[in-house]
Amino acid sequence: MSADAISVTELTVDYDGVTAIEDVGFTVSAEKLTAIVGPNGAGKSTLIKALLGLIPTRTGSISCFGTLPKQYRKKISYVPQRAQIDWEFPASVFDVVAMGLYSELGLLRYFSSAHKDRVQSALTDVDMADFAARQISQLSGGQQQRVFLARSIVQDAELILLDEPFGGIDVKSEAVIVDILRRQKQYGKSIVAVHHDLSTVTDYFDDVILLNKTVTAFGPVNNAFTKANIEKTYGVSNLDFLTGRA
Amino acid sequence: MTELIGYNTALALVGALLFGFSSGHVGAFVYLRKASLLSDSLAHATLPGLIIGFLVSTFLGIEEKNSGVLLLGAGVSALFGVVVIQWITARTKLGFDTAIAAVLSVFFGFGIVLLTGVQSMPVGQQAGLEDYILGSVSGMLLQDVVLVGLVSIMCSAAVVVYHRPLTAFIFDPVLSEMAGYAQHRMSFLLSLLTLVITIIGLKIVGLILVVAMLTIPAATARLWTTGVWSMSLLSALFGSASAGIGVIISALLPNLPSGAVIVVIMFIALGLSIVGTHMRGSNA
Repeated sequence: MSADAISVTELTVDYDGVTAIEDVGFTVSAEKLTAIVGPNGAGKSTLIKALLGLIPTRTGSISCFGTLPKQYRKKISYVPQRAQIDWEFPASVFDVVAMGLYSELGLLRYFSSAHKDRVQSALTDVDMADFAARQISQLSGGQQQRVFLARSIVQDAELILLDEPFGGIDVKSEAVIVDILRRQKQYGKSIVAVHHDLSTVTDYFDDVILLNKTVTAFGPVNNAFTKANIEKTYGVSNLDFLTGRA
Repeated sequence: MTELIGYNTALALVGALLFGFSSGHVGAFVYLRKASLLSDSLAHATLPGLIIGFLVSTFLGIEEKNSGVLLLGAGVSALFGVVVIQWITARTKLGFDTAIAAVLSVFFGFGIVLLTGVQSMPVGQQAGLEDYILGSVSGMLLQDVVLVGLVSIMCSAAVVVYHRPLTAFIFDPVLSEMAGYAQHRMSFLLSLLTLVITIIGLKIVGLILVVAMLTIPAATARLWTTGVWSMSLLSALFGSASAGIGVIISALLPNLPSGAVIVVIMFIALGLSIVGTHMRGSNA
């Protein structure tokens, strides 16, 4: 297996008739926590959609563990932004995590007690075992995020893509989720998250991709997440108040 | 039973029970997808095709009682309506709701113009056309019931087989895509089921009220259940029971259109459910 979870070269993607990202190239190391950081409209969501193989690309190539994303789909799991989900949908915590098994179960295969155990064990991994029967409408933001992480775990995906996992979540829940992500990394998962809070990038992540239509820098946070690179990405100077760096 | 309500009503009852079940079954997913208005627009858009189908079958000398040509016309017309809605939404600055309202009213208005014209024509049988607007089971034949019954069973079977992908598609489209069920295919499946239910429901509930079959049992079931599987099943049972009771009442009290009676019964069930679940909720 290649040491790169994702390798992108010269990628250009149009979205709604506009060039959303242009000539993007980077690699994501396997078994690392990687942040995608950039200003609004930088094309972060478009990049995630392209990585998932959901939208056509104009030029360039994407490979996941050395193969096309479409062929790798069942090993990729995606955690959407919480705002994109209808939390009034009639489903329990258990039901949502069980959806992670749908691709494995197919149309009609029986949901066995072994499947049930896997769902319960994934819920234990995110410390939500006691909430299995709870309706998803009755969860806090942090709990909702943990349910989706349990769904990724039950999918047994090797690559987990998250769109702003910490959006609108309190500090305590954020720490719990970071712990879960680090544990998954230790189990050999590669994790990529769109992230907004510049002040926590170095604390939470191993690697970073700085994006504004094109990639301004990528690599280990210590090398790539420099003041110069951040200013270049955001097109402004004096970001010290955001990053807490001198 | 047949001695009590007569052969024709017994036939209609069988059709209504099966149709009510499958419309409630499919309706649960239409409700969760928040596509009720789209289905209403689709139903109203059947009218021009229905009348044109009648004209075609009259001029071709096809036996007027044969509803196949009429339903085919209704289907083509509704499909055309959906295409227009999609075109307006994609190519103009007008919103989805405007497109739905425009298609619903314009197609229905055009259909009424055609209907009025047809009614002044010197051909027989056009009186039965009004049955498709408000629903009437009085003229249902064995062949109609067999058609409605078989198609209903097929729709319900499709819901059972595609239960998982449809659920995933509505809740989290990316998940269904990644699991191998492309969003456009799931969207097409749900639209197709809605269209088919609408067409076979024209005779029983009529095109104005068929949207109620896809919405009210689902809303009622949603109040009592916490999962998609139980909700869709309960919605199917509510739909079936309401349609069955409605057909019997409209048979016993002549001149009452079956569609209207069915909707009133469904509304009573919804009202009782709102009160019932509210009381249960405040006790908990």
